[in-house]
Amino acid sequence: MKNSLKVERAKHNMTQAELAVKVKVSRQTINSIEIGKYVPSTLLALKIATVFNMKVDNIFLLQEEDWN
Amino acid sequence: MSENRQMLQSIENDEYTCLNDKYTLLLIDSKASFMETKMKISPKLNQYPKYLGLFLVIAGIPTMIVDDSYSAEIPLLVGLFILLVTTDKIEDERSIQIKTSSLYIAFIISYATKLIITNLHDHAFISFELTEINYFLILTLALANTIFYGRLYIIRF
Repeated sequence: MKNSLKVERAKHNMTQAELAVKVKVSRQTINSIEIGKYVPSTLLALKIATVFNMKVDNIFLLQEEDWN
Repeated sequence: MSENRQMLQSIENDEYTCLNDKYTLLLIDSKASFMETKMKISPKLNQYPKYLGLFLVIAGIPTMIVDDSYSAEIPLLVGLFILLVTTDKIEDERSIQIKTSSLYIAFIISYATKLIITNLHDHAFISFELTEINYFLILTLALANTIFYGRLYIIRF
């Protein structure tokens, strides 16, 4: 799964730590999501989307290999 | 007539979407307030058992080596258990997932090790055997802690 979290964070001039505090997870979790090593739960994805005032599927994009 | 039906359908859809959004926000709010409460109660309180666990592990290793008496391994076992079950400063879904999978991996490795050691002992290749349940638990918990903290802070899974 691809995500545009880093881009959105940059657009909102927000650090990983600031986003982590807003969605109440650790900074390492945000970092793992950004580099694609961790797929967040629906609740966390919704929280992140709410922080950026966007829809979840605008931030998290399903890729072809995710179907396999 | 069909226009009216379409309009009614679109209103119903809008209402459903609004209701859905409302429930989503309510769910996020309730979960957030629960986590806030948890974080307010826990930050310092949760750290003390971790220090106790660390102290027991540090004291338990030489105790187990030096002391030959029965149940000398208990402090180490308790220390490793406390280290694994206590929560971190920020316990989120990723750390819980890592902890669960680390315990699973540790159990698989420990049990495979136990089977191999028993087999080697039966064929007289080695002189020792892993028969005590406490030693098996120490191996499992030590592996689980190593894998968990390694993945959480070093490998960054």
